[in-house]
Amino acid sequence: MYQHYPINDNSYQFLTDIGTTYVVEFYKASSYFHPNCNYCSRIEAISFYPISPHKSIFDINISETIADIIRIRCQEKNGAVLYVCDSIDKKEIGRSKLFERWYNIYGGGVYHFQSSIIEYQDNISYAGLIVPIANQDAILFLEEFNLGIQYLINKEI
Amino acid sequence: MKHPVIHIKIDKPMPASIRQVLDEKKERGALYAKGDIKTIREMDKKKNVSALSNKR
Repeated sequence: MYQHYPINDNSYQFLTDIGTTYVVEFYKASSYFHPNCNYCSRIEAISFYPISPHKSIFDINISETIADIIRIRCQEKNGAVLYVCDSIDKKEIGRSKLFERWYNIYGGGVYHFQSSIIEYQDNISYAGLIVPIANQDAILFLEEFNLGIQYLINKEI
Repeated sequence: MKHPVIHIKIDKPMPASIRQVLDEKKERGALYAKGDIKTIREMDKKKNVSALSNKR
């Protein structure tokens, strides 16, 4: 795992062995939940990006570092994290596999993982919720996620 | 081992609010890839200002 550090209230940064800097950002995930949701304010979406990547190589330390940042964020915010993928660049399968890998490495006994795949006419939305089992509101976060899916299904464009 | 997945097909276009989130992710990814941190910080600044004015 790489050493990471916060760069502001919502972002973290780390540097890989090949010199690529990654930014991990957290932001409000309200679009994925019912407008009257009770617990969604404690569910943040996560995005991560390489800055000026030198080249793309598989590096297990990157996913371990991001997983550690998720762990810390969930603790600090007493909340859960939403992992959002899209099919804009056709890399969504790889991203949802990353979510699956996190589940296999970190899921057992520590986190609940729940994914949704919503196939619209024109695009596919992948979203996965990562909830620390130890959180006393874990079940409520999962219910909120499921209610959000129902809301999106019924929502007008 | 597989985790639980809810898979649904809907016979309508993606809601604009979700599309906006995905478009923004794509835009930020492109800016980070170019190393254009300045533009990203300006975007964040504007967003914070508008979030603050919505609170009033």
